[in-house]
Amino acid sequence: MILCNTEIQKAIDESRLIIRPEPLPRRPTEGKQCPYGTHSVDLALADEISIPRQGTYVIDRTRKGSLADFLAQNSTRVKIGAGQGYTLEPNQFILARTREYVELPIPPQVDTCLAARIEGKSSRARCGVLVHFTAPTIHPGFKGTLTLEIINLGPNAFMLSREWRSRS
Amino acid sequence: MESCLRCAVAPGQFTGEYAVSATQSSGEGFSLFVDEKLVDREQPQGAEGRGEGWLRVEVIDRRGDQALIKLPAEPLEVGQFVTVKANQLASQCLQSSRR
Repeated sequence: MILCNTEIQKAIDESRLIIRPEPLPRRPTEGKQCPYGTHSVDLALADEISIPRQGTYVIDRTRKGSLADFLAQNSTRVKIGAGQGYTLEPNQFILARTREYVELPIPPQVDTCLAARIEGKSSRARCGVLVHFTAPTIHPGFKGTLTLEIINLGPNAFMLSREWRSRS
Repeated sequence: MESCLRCAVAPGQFTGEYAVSATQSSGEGFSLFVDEKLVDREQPQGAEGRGEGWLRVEVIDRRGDQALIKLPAEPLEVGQFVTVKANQLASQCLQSSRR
């Protein structure tokens, strides 16, 4: 079952879905961008991205126990300042995070709980920018910011800014 | 039941995140990225912020010298539920470095 926007808001009110800061306004309001679609809510980009460094190494999943450290050692953190952006070049891959903290609690006394999905937006896809193309499901019990995989498969550079939004 | 797993800790890919690695009872290692609030680090830290610490985990079952635990996030190499040696667990993390 996919929740509509009012059901998403009801889930937030009942703490079955936690998003902090809460996306506002809940209804279209003059002069403000409403983050809710008919069955979705937009989340914003946090102020830090992680850029994998190119090298001669091979990522080897059979080297068990060291992959997270290896990935961290071979990536660079970049801050996106307020009012600034990051130019995502063609064929460039980066990691980003949502500004919002998201939690999908598993209540002990309730039969059902929520899962969610992260999606990019079609307007960005038309430019060749893909968001979270693997493992888009946010599993019940998840808590934290969402890590986004973003790649520019288009022929032109694309500006990422802190106002840039993905959909979940 | 919450418990704490002995682990190696290094900086993650983002601010506020650690790259954590530990060992299953089979001897195979696993690693994951976790929020720094889930880790209590031992002092002093080594070069480049590396060191040892304790990761908050949920113990699902204990049998003999082994324990089945649920990790706070899915590791990059294996699933979120792993079996570790019980002596790698402590009932309390480091009180002194708790946030």
